[in-house]
Amino acid sequence: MRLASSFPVPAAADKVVALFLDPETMRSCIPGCEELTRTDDSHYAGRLVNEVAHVRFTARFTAEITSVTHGQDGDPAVVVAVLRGEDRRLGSTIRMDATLTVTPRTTPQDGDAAEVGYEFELAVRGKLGRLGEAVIRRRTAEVERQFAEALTAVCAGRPVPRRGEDAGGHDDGPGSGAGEPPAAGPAAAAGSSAVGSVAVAGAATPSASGVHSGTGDPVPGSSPAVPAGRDRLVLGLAVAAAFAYGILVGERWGGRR
Amino acid sequence: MGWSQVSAVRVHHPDTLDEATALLRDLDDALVYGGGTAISVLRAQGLLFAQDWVDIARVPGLADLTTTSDGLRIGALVPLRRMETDPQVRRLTPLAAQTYGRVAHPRVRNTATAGGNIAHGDYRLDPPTALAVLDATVHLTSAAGTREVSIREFFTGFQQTAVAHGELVTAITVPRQPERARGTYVKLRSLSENDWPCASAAVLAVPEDGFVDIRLGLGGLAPTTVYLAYDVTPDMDVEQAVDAAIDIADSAMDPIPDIRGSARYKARLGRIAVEEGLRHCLKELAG
Amino acid sequence: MTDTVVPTPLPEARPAEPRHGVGDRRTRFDALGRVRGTLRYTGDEGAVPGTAFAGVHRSTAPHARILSIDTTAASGMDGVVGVVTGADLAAVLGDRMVTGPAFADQPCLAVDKVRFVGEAVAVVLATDLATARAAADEIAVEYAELPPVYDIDDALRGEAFVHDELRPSSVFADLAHLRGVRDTNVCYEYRQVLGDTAAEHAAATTTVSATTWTPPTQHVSIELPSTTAWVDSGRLEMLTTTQTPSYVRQTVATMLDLPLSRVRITTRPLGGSFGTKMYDRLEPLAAALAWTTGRRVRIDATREEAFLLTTRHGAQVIGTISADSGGELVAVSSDVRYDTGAFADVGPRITAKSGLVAPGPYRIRSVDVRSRCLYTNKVSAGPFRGFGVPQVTFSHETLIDELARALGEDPYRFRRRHLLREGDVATVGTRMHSADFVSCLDGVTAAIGWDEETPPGDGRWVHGKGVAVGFKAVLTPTVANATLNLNQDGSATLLISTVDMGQGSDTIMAQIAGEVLSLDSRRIHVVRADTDATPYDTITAGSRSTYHTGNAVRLVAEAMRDKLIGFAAELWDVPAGVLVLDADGVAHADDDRRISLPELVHARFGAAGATVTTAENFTSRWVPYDHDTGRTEKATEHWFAGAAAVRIAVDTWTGRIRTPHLAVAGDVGRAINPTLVEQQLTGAALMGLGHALFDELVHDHGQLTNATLLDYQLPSFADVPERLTPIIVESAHRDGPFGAKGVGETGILPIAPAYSAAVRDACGVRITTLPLTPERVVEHLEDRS
Repeated sequence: MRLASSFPVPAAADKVVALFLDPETMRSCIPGCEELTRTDDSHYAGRLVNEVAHVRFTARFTAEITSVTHGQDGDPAVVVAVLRGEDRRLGSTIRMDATLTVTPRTTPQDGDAAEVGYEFELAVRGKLGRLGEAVIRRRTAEVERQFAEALTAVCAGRPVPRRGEDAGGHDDGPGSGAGEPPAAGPAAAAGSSAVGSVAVAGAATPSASGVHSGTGDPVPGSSPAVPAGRDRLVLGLAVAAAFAYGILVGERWGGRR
Repeated sequence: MGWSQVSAVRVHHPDTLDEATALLRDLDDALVYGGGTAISVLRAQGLLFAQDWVDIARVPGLADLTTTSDGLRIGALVPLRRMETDPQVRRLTPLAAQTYGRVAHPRVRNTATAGGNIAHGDYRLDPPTALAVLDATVHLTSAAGTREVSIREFFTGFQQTAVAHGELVTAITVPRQPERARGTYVKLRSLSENDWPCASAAVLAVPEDGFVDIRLGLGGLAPTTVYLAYDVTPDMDVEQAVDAAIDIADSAMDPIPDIRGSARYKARLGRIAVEEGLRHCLKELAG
Repeated sequence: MTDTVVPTPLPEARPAEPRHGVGDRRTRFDALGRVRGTLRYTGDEGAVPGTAFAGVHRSTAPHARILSIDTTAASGMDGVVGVVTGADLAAVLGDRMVTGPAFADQPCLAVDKVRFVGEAVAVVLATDLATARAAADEIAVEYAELPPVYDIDDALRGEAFVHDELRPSSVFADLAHLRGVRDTNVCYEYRQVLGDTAAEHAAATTTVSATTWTPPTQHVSIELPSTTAWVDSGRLEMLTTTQTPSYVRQTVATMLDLPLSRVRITTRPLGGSFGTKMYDRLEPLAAALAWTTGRRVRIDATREEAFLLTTRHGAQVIGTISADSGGELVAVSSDVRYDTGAFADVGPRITAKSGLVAPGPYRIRSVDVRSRCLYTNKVSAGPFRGFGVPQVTFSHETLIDELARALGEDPYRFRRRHLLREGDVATVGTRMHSADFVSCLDGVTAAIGWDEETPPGDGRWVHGKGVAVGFKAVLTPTVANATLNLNQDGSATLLISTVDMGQGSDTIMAQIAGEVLSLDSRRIHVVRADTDATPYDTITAGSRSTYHTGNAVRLVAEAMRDKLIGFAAELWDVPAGVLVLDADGVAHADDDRRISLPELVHARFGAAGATVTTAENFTSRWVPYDHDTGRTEKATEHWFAGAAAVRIAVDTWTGRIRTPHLAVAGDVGRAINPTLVEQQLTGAALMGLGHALFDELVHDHGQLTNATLLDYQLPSFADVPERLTPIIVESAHRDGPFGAKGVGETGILPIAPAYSAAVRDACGVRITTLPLTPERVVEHLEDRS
């Protein structure tokens, strides 16, 4: 299954990138992310905890970076990675070949802004895999909305909303009639972005090995030697992981009866 | 109050509504068991983990279907089949009777309940489309008391409803269908005949002073049931009325692509369902 | 019609009234039990105390090395009595734990690597089923992914291989030459070459090509697979849902290195199967677990697991047909690719048996068929009603229909002109007998009023008609045996290993035996397959039982008749030739001496309740394919011929297809029981309708995404055509029992191509990808305009 979309964030690209570099920010933005550690030069491990119908689940994921292209002069930064996660309780695994981009934007109304784009080639296998596309595609939009809301709140200097507290708030429930697309929520809420600039760590732009094999089967240890930019990638991957996992079990489904 | 064990699940059998709501309040992870048609399928797939089921079959009154001064009161445990066949439902809310009669097949309709149906919260359910255009109200009860939620506000998100922890659906009330109104339910499948709808539309045309109030309930075309309404004014002919309906439906449709069709195809079927339903209603009104 | 075979004449035999014999519309003997739920199926058997229930942990990777399996958490759960991995079984059984009818490629639990999402990796044995399944979820497996082979293109690209090397099993001797072949996903290839297709295509005046795709589907029999195995006095015994008890006994005996006498396979009636309960399903695993643990082990598949046990082959066919200026068929080329999934199962047989009919039942000057069986990292594909032939039928009928249109000819009459007749030689080199395509085609077109005017469209709905034929060879060679016990009271007990799965075999076998013995068939009990008692029978599949087992039953009844007459001849001291057996017993043809069967048997043995036993065999033979041309003078014991014609209406707004009338015909040689024949034709047609319109397994990255009954589509009563007409054609087979042949698959072959031809007729679009979903129809309509 191929999933691709993008959402705007009301802050300059470098600021978004900087926020990506702050683990605490990410932990608060990524639905259910409780851990994110680097295990070696090219591998990372994390843990996501979520609830489905009041049952808590824990899923571990690992990430492996296959290429990095750093943004320059308005070009987007691009991260390509393979991510694997597993939820034993649900007898399910996920593999995702992910491409994340952060593109600088400037809008006349709001000043600085950036576009966060993603493209996932998603393979969900096991019990969850047989749920079919409907649930998974729908979950993508929901998780994207949650993440974008959180990131927008951080950009705006507001507290990150806790999950569940906004139930129904942005949803295109039957009463609204207009069927507002979910992704429009955070964008519309992105009024104030007057937060002081954040120094970008690791802003040096090493000569990335821009193009790569793309086979999704990287040779261990052959990752580009760009430690300065590495954390950025990891955090980008965490976003991807959150998307992937949240798509699966980020929220109760099936409803209460 | 009883208690029995179905493999790893504890099934509670409260004898009163108070016992039921107390269980729902006190248990951490409980599901209300009505007809069980959805629960048993999800459980068989290993995707439902609730440890406690609260079977409300013994709670008095929940299976009552009664007429009230302004319409129907449908107890949560009234089977869908009864909604389809009951003479009072057919007389007071013919659109509801027609729509309930289109759910799955008789075996499911004999078992599934009116309350469980909406609590399932699936975006493709048939009855919510009719309940939305008929302006039904959902009655939710918890240990703290009872509250009412318009069916139009009941579906809050993809497979999410307004039912909160500790609550259960106890009844649905439906105002009687206006005497001169004409309604119909159009259900379009893309695969086998007993499948979920690929797209569906309940349409009710209510003549008012100088205009016709058109109400649309769309199923399967967005993450939740969609309710829409607009007026057909005397200066509009049927084609313009249809165009307006399609325009407004188009603005609200957000179909999820799956094995039953792409988003584009589902929207196409949605437009056809709306058009068919509306033409039928306007023709009946004119005739 | 050819001449009918008359059974050995019985002079002046007095018929019983009624006898429920051959040609009678006898109701299935178990019909009431099946509809009322009083008939006990395998899974209805209560579990004996001490039974260990199995929970299966399944792979979540399509192709991966198993790095580790952590069973600690599962083992520690209350009620768990054991956890078994593939390595555990391999340590005891070695390579013998890897089984399969064509290739030994199917480990009962994965060893070292997994080859599809859903493959069994480890088993928990527990005191109850819920615990077993819950504990199976607690098993943790670490994988190292390997490059997956998702589909036919991946398989042919040859960059990754599902199996390191081919390992033919001992069951199909003709595959031995493939032993040890490496670096390929092609596990079998069949070629059929007749004449020079390249030259004929080049010289032809009209050529039509089409690439067709028939997706994988699942059988979804109502009854789920269930197997219980135990060890009793050093013997492995089993009760299982299988169509192939004799095969299972052989497989289990080989796997456990036991003599056949120490393995017993028992069955109960099946609640439908259609090929899903054949060969190696749950049985090798259950046997291995019972044997290695000493426990009574029961494995029940859930509906979701049943989807992971076997499927129908998805198949791509690249086909071309050419005609000369006179409209004669000069060349057919066909490149057939069957996706057999992770295990070959009988894919190689399907590849050959379907490849041999791929050009269609027509007089064709030259053919070139290349039919290949390909491994992929998917659920294994195996036998499914039609045995791969519906997939090639969709190709050859699409081609000939389009060719007729290209030539401006009526698709019905064009086919009729070219169909093989009695005595013609098919492209595979075998002479045609008892395959009356023309009567089938005439019957279905007459039924739907082919020449009547098609209703005009109304702007939204358009109407059309379509026709197609189906052509299949019966599995040959195969073996059938029957043992008959005549009881002293004049009733009989028939022992065969045919499994009644709803097709009514127990009913018609009794009708055949009763006909020969002039017995009311309701007095003949057919014993359920039990390898301790019932004799070897190759399989209950491929529409072979009526002919093969039916012949064994006919022979065993004839032997019984001769034996009884012999008893009377000895009793009366007269030559056997003057005696006849009729409904009242044995009679002397020339005087009034007569003795009833109870009296005769009692007179012989002096004991009430004594039995008289006879046993017979029927074996069909073939001539193997020529190495270079794939042709043979005897490819098959007999042919199946069928046809379907349909009138449809297409909603051009939604693309939905409505069926005012579907007619289906099959040449059955002779209908032993016309009611059951009509039901087989009808049932097969409805299954075919599902395959034509919506039935399809959807894969995404090796994961089945609609393998639940929430999403998987099957025809229901609501999908039944407004009119459905089954037509029995009887062109008696010279060697069939009373001229009869089977009918289980005939009706499914032509349905999908008849529908696609009708869509072509109604809308002017040719759809070559199944199923004909409304969205696909709409897309084609949009592309046209």
